[in-house]
Order: sequence, then structure tokens, then C-alpha cells
Amino acid sequence: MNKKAVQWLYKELPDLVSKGVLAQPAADRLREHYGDIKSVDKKWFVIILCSVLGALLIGLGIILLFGHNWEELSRPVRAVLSLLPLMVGQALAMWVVFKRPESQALKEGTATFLSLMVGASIALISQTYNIPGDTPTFILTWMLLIVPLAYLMDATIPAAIFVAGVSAWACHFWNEPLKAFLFWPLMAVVVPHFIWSLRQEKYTVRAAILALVMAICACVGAGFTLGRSWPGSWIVIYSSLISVFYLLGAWEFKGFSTNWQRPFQALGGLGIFIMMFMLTFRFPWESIAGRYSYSYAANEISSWAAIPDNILTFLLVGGALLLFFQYAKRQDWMRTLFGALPLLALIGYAFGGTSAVFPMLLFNVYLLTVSVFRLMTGIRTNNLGVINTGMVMLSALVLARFFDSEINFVLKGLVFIFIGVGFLATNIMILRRKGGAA
Amino acid sequence: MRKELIIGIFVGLIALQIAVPVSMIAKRESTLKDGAVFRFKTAPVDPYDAFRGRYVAIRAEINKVSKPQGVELKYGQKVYAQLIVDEKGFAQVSQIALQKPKDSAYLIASVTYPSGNDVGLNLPIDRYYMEEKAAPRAEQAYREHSRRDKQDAYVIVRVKDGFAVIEGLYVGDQKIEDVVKQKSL
Repeated sequence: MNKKAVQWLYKELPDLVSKGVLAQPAADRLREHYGDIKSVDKKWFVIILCSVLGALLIGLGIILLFGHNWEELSRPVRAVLSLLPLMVGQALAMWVVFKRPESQALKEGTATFLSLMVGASIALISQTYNIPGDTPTFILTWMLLIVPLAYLMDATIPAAIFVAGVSAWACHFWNEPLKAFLFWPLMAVVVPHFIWSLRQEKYTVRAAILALVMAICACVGAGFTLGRSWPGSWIVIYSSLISVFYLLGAWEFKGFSTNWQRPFQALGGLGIFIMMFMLTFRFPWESIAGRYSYSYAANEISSWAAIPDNILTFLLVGGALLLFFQYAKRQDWMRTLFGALPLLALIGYAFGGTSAVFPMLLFNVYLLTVSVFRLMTGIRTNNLGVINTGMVMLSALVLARFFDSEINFVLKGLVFIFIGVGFLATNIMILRRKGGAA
Repeated sequence: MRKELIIGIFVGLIALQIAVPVSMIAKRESTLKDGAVFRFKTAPVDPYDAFRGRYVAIRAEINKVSKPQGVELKYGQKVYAQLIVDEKGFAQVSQIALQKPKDSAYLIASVTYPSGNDVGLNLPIDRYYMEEKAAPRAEQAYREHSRRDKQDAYVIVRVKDGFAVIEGLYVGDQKIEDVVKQKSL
């Protein structure tokens, strides 16, 4: 149900009744049918935002002050200093949890502050004692010490910091697959918190923020942890990952109506378009043959080290295909068409090793089909947003192929004219049908 | 019940959040107090860490040793680097071992590249933190000094049970902080 439409209807009702378009009982029945609109309290959101931003800036400021490395401070003073802000943060958090447990703004703010102070404390000790620059250990220690706050204080920002931190940690282990793979179990630590935050009626924005951070970090993490034993498998892996985002995000959950509340769907949709577009070129398919490969082969990775990677890759691709078939069964054609990406990527991957021509052709047709379908759907449902995105997709494809130096001019020209005639013919057909109906 | 459990976990978390930094401090203080003193020759340069501020990167000049016979080494593997003092008074790695040496001082180092008869080593002394403005000056001071053919920058390191803590960075037998102060006067 579209919240905005109901809001508009409620605004119109008194006017309609007074003008005699609608009888009062009918208006009342309409209200009864749609029920109250749950409006998100804006003020409340602003308070939380201010408290989080305040805590974030003060916390980062303290880290920066420490970063100056004050020479005048002796070692004992530094030791005390590195513990002091941490203890202040802890005291604040304790006070909020026990005295003001109902204030989400205070909980979120103090949890954010405490999260940063844990990092500041370890950082200052690193300076004082010239601890070797072991960045991954620094990050992981920090992250593991703050993630319980997400659960103990129902706070989302520490969870978001954790997700970002764990991704940064995984980036350090691109040549140690077993270690890097821990990224996924670590990410899973925040999933219960994420599900909990999705269920909160009042404050869906924070679920959206966490979803956004998680989606971006999962994409980064996938690059460092998955498909490392087969060159070019990133094509299938990323196709599956973003399709899973898109199709899961599009699943009908209660209470989400805007794209902002569906960051997984929005990001997934964008990702699918970018992926489709990229796959109309030659270079991704050539990576299968190992021309630009960055696989483990050179680094003597024993086969068992790749097992978790392989299992997760298969689960991911399988999940994406399963979701695709679900949407096809529901006959939700737009999403089915978008969700077909992993299947086509898989087909392309199977052929791409020998020749890039077939997969390239496949994806050109695919992108053309999706954009035309989107355009048509938009026109049919009178949805300008859908029309525009369809146009953007189509123009991207047309421009890319127009400037494509690989295809010879005659062939390019003929295909362009052929498709153009197709459009005109459709146009004429629609006009005739309309004319016939009128 | 639920509240008590939360209090319990919360107190546990807070204790852990304090225990980690305190144990980091304690281990280093104990090394600084009781550790054996070694001088490592270095070449300092000046990078930057967003969280921890400016430091002087220390590249200890011993980062290569000969590979022990009949041992396979992998990238990142932990090894025990045994320390000796050469005739000029600087520390050298005499050999590396996979078992903890019993009678000599050692550092726990990681293997960077095993190649041929040599093994690259990553010694756990690579940063010396300095005040924001001092770190670039320190690098400059070292460069000017080394131009006069006296490449005698070194760090004094305390070593205890394979664990190293840097005590100070010296250029031409002067503490780097003093060198920098003289320069800026």
C-alpha cells in the first residue's frame, strides 16, 4: 500500500464530502478500510541523528588530538590518558542503559562514542609504545570489542562501524584466503541485529543505513574472498550477489514502501544494470581466459584453502537462481528479467572461455530486451521513473555500441536501422490500435 | 532475569574493553623494564596513519638472513630470529629457527619472501611515533646526516621473550627528539 497515496486521499476526503462527491459514511468507511497512517516522527529522527553525529564528531576529534603525539606527555600520563576517554564512554553508556533505557537517541549516541573511544585507546597505546603497524590486528581487536554494543544497547551505528571495519580488515588478506574468508562469519555477527532493526516499526531509517553499509561491504568483501581459484568467476559471483540483493530487497515485506527503505533493492538494481552494461564489452569475458587474472595460482594456495570459498560461491549462485525461479513462478516479469542476470552470466561464463563473441552478443540482446521491456512497462503503467530508467539503459547501450570500434560499420549501421525500424513499427501499431479503439 | 543477564554481559564487556588496553600497556612496560638492550641500524622515513598520527617508519637494515637447511618456509610464517651483537655494537640476526631458542635473545619475526638461500624477514620494529611536526623534520635530519656519509641512525630496542619495544631513535648518537629540537631553534 502506498502511504503517500493514502495521505493524499485523506487530505482530499473532507473536500470531496463537502462538494457532495462522496457521502460522509462512505468517507468514514474509506478511512476504516485504510486505517491510520503511521507517520514517522521527524523530530525524533532529528534528535537521534544529532546525537549520533555529535558523538561521532567528538569521538573522531579525540582520536585526532591523540594523533598529534604530544611529546611533552610522559609515558604514565599517556597510559592514563588512553584509558580515561574509554572509561568516560563506558560510564556514559552504563548510565544510559540503566537510567535512560527508553531513549534511543542517548543509546545510539553513547554507543557510538564508546565505539570510537575503544579505538582511540588502542591507538594511543600503539603510539606510546611504538607498536608495529599491524593494521589488521588493530582493526579486528577494536571491532570485536565494540560489536556487543549493537546488541546490549540496541545501537546500529556500532554495528555499521563493525561491518565497515571488518571489511577493511579482510582487505589486508587478499593473499591469505582462509583468513580473509572469516569476513563472512564476522559479517554474520550483525545479521540478527539487522533483522531486529528491520522489525522496528518506528525507526526504519537505521535499518536502511545498516543495509546500505552491509551491501557495499559485502560487495567489497566478495572481491577479496570469493571465486579466487577460477579466473573470471567474478562475473558469475558479482552477478549472483547483486541479484540476491535486488530480489531479496524486492521481496514483499510489510511496511516498506519507498526505495529509501529498500536499499538492497535500489543498490541491487543499479548493480545489475552496471553489470549487464559491463558484460556487453569484451574485457570481462577475456578475464576468464586469465588475461587479467589475479587468481591464487601464483601464490601456491593449496586446494583445501579454497573449499570455504567454493562452498559459499556455490551457495550464492544457487540462492540467486532459486530466487530467480521464485519470481518467475510469481510472473513478476520485470524482476524476473533483472534476476535472470546470474543465469545468463553462468551461460556466458561457460562459453566465454573459448570465445568472447557469444557472451557479448548475449548480453547486448539481454540489455536491449530489459531496457525496451522497462520502457514499455513504464509507458503502460504511466510511470515516469520506470520510463526514464529504461531510457537511460537503452541510451547507454546505444552509445556504447555506436562508439564500439570492434564491430564493422556496415553491420553496426544495419543493426541500428533494423532496431530503429522496429521501434517505429511498434509505434505505428500502438497508434493504430488506439485509433481503432477510439 | 533478563536485566541481570544484560548487566552481567555489559560489565563483562566493559572489563574486557579495559583489560585489552591495560594488558597492552603492561606487556610493554615490563619489556621496557627488564628487556635486554639492542641497537638496530635503521633508515627512517616519515609516513602517516589516520588513526595513530605521524610516525617515522623504521626499516631495520637486517631484513635478510640465510635460509636454514632443509626447512620449508611460507609467506607470513612466524619464525624465531636469534640476535647477536656485531663488533660495532649493532644487533644482527645470526640465524632463524622454528623452535624457541633456549639460551640466546630472539625476536619473533615473520617471513616476507623465501627465495633461494635467503629469507626476507619482517622484524616487529617498524614504527617510531613522533609529534606531528617533528616526524618530517626527523626524516630530514636523518637525510642530511646520511649525506655526510655517516649513516648511523639506529633504534634502541628492549627485547624480552621474543617481544620487542622501541625505547628511542638516535641519529648520530643523539636522541631524535633533541636533533629535531636543535634544528628548529
